[in-house]
Amino acid sequence: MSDRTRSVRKTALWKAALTYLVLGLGAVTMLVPFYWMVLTSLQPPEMAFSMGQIRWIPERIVWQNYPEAWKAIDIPRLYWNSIVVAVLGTLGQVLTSSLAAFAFARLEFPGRDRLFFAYLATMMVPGSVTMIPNFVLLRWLGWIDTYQALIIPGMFSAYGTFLLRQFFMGLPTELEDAAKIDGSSYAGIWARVTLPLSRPALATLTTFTFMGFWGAYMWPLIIVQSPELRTLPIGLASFVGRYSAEYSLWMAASVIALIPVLLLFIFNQRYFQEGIKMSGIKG
Amino acid sequence: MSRTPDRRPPLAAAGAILTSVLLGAALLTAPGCAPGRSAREGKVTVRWVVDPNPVRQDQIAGFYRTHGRDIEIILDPDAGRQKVLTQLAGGIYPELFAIYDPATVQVFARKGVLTDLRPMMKRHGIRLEDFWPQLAPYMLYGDQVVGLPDNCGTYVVFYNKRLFREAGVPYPREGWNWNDLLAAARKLTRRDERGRTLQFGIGYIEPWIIFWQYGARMYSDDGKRCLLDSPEAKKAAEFWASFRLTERVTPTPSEEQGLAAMGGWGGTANLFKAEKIAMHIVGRWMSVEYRKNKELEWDVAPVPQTGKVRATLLASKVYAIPKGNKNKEAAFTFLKYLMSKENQLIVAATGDGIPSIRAYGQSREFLYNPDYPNERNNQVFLDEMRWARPPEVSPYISELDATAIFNEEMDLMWQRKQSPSQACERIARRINAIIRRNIANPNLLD
Amino acid sequence: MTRRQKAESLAALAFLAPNVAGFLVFTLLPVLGAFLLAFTNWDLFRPPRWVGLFNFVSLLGWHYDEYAGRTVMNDPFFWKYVYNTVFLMTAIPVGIAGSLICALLMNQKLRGITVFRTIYFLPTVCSGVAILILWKWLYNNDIGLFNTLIRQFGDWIGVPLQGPNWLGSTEWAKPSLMLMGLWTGLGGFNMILYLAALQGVPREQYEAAAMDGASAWQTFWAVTWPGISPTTFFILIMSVIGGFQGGFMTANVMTEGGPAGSTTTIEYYIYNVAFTRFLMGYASAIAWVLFLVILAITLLTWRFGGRKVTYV
Repeated sequence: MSDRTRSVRKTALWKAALTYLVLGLGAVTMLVPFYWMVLTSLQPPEMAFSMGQIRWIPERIVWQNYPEAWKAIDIPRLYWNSIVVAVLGTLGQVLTSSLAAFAFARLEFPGRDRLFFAYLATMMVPGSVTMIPNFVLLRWLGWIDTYQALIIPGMFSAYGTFLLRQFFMGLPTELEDAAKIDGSSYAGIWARVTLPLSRPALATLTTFTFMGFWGAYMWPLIIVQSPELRTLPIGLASFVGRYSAEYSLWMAASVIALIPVLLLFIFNQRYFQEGIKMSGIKG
Repeated sequence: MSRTPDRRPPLAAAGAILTSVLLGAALLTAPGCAPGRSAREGKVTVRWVVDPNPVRQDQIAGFYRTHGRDIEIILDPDAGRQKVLTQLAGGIYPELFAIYDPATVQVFARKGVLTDLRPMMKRHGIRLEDFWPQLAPYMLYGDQVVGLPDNCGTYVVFYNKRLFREAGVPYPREGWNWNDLLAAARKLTRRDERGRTLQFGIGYIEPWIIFWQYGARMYSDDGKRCLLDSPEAKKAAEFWASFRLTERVTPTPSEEQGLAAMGGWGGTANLFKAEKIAMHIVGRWMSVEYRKNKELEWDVAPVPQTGKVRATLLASKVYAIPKGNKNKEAAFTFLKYLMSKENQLIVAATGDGIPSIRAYGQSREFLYNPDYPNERNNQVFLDEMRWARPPEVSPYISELDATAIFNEEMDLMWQRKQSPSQACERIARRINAIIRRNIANPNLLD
Repeated sequence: MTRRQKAESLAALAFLAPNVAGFLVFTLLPVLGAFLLAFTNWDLFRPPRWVGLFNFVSLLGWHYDEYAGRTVMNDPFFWKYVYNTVFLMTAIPVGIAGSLICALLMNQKLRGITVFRTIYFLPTVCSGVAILILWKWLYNNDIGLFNTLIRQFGDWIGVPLQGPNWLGSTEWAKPSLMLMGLWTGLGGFNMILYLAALQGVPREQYEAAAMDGASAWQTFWAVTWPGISPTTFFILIMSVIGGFQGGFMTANVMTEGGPAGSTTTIEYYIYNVAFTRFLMGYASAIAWVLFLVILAITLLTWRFGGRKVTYV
C-alpha cells in the first residue's frame, strides 16, 4: 500500500468520524419532539402536564393510554378513511403531475411557458380566501360530505407539477433521443425513460403528497359532516378541549397515527440511496 | 433496459389508473362503504355544531332518553369560526350552532343569518321571562330572540384550599375586598432563591371586573366613544397591572398563554389544575375541568369588591338556528330539550355552568349535588348574578379591531414600555379614531 | 406549424389534459372567484355589492386625521404585518443553505446514514399542533428548557445569566419563531428535495472532476451546484411563495399574533379579516395585493435566477 492511498484512507476516516459527530449531535436535538410524544403517551395523565415543566426521564411507564385512546375515538374507522383518502389522492396526484410535468419539461407547444406560469400563480393566492369559493363549487357539484370531496380537489396541485418539471428538465436528453430514434412514442418515453430515471423525485413527491393528505385538517373538517367520513386529524383534535388537552391520550393516538408516514418515508429511503446507474440504463 | 421500442400505449394505462382513482373515490360514496351513514338515510337528523366538551354526550343521551330516537343528533365539532362560517356562507346550514359572545350574536343577527325564534317559542311555550334577564345581550337583537343559551357563568374566585392551608392564609369570605385578595395572593406566590416563580397567587384577571368596579366603562352608552381614557379607567388599569408589574403574583397574558393548550385558551386552567396557581377568577363551566383532577381540593368565593360599583363578568353561549336551514322544527325540538328541566339539570350536575333558566339555576339540584359533596358553595354563582354584566360592545367598531388594539397596547405595558395610564390613553385614542372613521364612512363596517 | 410540431402539440394536450382539467375546475375557478370578491363588499351573508376599488383604497390609501393632526394610513395594521412577514422571511436563505449542507452530509455512503435521515426528518413528520405547544413550553421564560440551560451554563462559568423572554417580548418573538422554523426545516422537505436532486447529478461528471484533480470545494461549485440548480430554483420559488403566505399555524397556536402584534403575518391577518371581521371583500383585496407582490418577486427570480439554472 502506497503512502498516498494510506493518507487518502486516513482522510476518509477522519471525514466519516467528523460527519458522525456532527450528525449525531444534531440527531439528539432532532429526536426531542418525537421522544416527547412517545414519553407523554406513556405517562399517566396527571403526570403529563405540570406547569410546562417537562420530565425528560419518566418515573414510571404506563401502556394504558394506548387502549384508552383506541376506545376514545373510533381509530379503525378514522384510519381506514385516512388511508383511502391519502392513497387514492397520492396516486392521482403523482400520476397527473408527472404527465403534465413531462409536457412542460419536454414538449414544445404554443403558450407553454404562459400556461406554466399560470400554474405557479395560483399558488400565490392564500387559502383563506379560496376556501369559500372552493366550498361553494363542491356544493354545486353535490360533493359535500363525500369521499370525492376529500380526494379529488387535492389531486391537481401545481406544486407536484412544478417539482417534477424541474426534475425532468434536469435529466439527460440522450436517452430520450435514442428512444425517439427507435421510434418510441412520447408516451413510451414518459413511461420507459423519464419515469424510471426520476424515481427519487417520484419518491419525494409521493412522500410529500401522502403527508399532505394524511395531515390535512381544515378542509376535511369543513367539507365532512358525517362522523363516518372523518379522518384521523379530526379525530385527534377531539383530545384538545376548549380549556385543556388530554395530552397522554392525544399523544398516544398521535403516535399510532404517525406510523404509516414513517413507514412510507423509510420505504422510500432506498430511492435516495444510490445515484442513477447511468451505465446500467445505457446497457 | 432494452432499446426495443415499446408499442403499448402507456398513456392508456395512465388513463386507466386515473379513471380507477376517480371511480374508486366515487364508489366509496356508496352507502355500503360508510356504515352508519346509510342507517341514517331517511331519518331526521339535527347537526349540532358546538365545542365537543364531554358533557355534550350526556346531553345527547338525555335527549334520546326523554324524546326517543326519531331525531338523530350529530355532534359536529366546532373548531374556530372558519368551519361554521364557510358552511353558512356556502349555503350548507347546520340545524343548530353555538355563538360564544354578544358581539358575534349582534353581527350575525345584523347580517340576517339568524332565525327569529319568537314564533316557535310561543308555540312551544318557552318564555323569555324565565331566563336570567342579564343574558339579554346574548339572546336579543332588537325585539327578536335570535339565540337561546342553556348555560351561563358568573365570574367568581376558584381557589385551591390545600395551597391556602399550607400558606396559612384564611379562606376567602363573603365581603372581602381586593386588598384582601392581593394580600392572599402575595402569600400564595412562591419563588425560588433566584426569583423564578414556582407558584402564582392568582391567574390572569379579566380586566373588566376591575375596570367596572372602579366605575370605568369601555364605551359610552351610544357606543360612539371609547371611554378608556377616563380617570377611573386609568386608576383601574394601574391597579390591575400592579398584580403583575409590581406585585408579580400573576403571570402576564403571554406567559399564561405560553402554557395554554391551544390558541391561548386555558393556560390558567392548566396551571390551576396542576396546583401551580392558587386562585383563578372564572365561570362555573371550569368545574368540568377541575373535577378531572381528583386530588384537587377547590372551592369558590365571590369576587372581591371595591365598594364603589358592584360588578363581575357574565359569560354564556347561545344556540342559534340559521335562517337557511330547512329543518327548523327538528332543530327547535332539540333546542326546546336544551331548555328543558332534563338538560338544564344535566348542566347543573356536570358543572358546565349555571342553568340559563332562573328556576333551574335556583333549584335544589343546582345548589347541592350529592355526587360532589365538596361543592357546597354553589350559591356564590347565583349571588354574583345580581351584578354580573356581559362584555361591552360598540356597534361602531369590530371586536377584532378593538381587541387587537387593546392587546397590543397592554402587551407593551406588560413589557414596561409604557405605563398603564399611557396604555389606556393610547387605546382610547386609537379606538376613537376608528369609530370616527367608521361613523363617517359606514361602508367600512361589516 | 409543421406536421411534427402539430403532433407534438397534440401529444402535449393529451399529457396535460387530466391535470389541466382538474386544475381549471378545482384551482382556477376558486381563485378567480376569490379575486372577483375583492371588488365587492361581501360580508359572507348578504348578497355582495360591487364597490369598485373601494377595498384597495381602504387598504393602501391614506387620509388626514383631524384629531391626530396628521396624515395616517387607512390601514396601519397592514403595513406592520407586511414588515413582520418580510422579517420572518429573512430566515429563508439560511434555511436553504442549512438543508443543502445537511443533504450533502447525508448523501455520503456511510453505515447507518438512513437512520440519520429518518431522525432528521422526524420533526417534520411530528409537526403539528402538539409540537408547537411543546415549543411554547421550551421557550417559557421562567421554566422553559432554553432559559434553564442558559442559567445552568451561567452557573457553570460563574456569571449570572438570564435568557431572553423568548415569545413574551416584542424583540425576541420573531427571532424565536425563525429559530424554530430553521431547526424544524433543517432535515425536512428541502433536504429530501436536495437528496433526490443529488441522485440525479451524473456520476461521470464527478469522475471527470476527480480526473482533473479538482478539490472537494471546486467539485462542489463546478459539478454539484450546477447539477442541483433546478432544485435550488424550485426551493427558492416555493419558499418565496410560501414565505409570504406563512405564519398562520404559529400565530394561531403559539402566539395569537402577539405580543403587541409582533408575530402577526399577512396570512394571519387575512384569515382574521375574513373570518373574525366577516370582511371577505377586504380580505380578498389584501390577497390581491399579496398576490401581485409575490408574482412580481417570482417573475424577477425567474428572469434573473432562471439564467443561472442549468438543465444539464
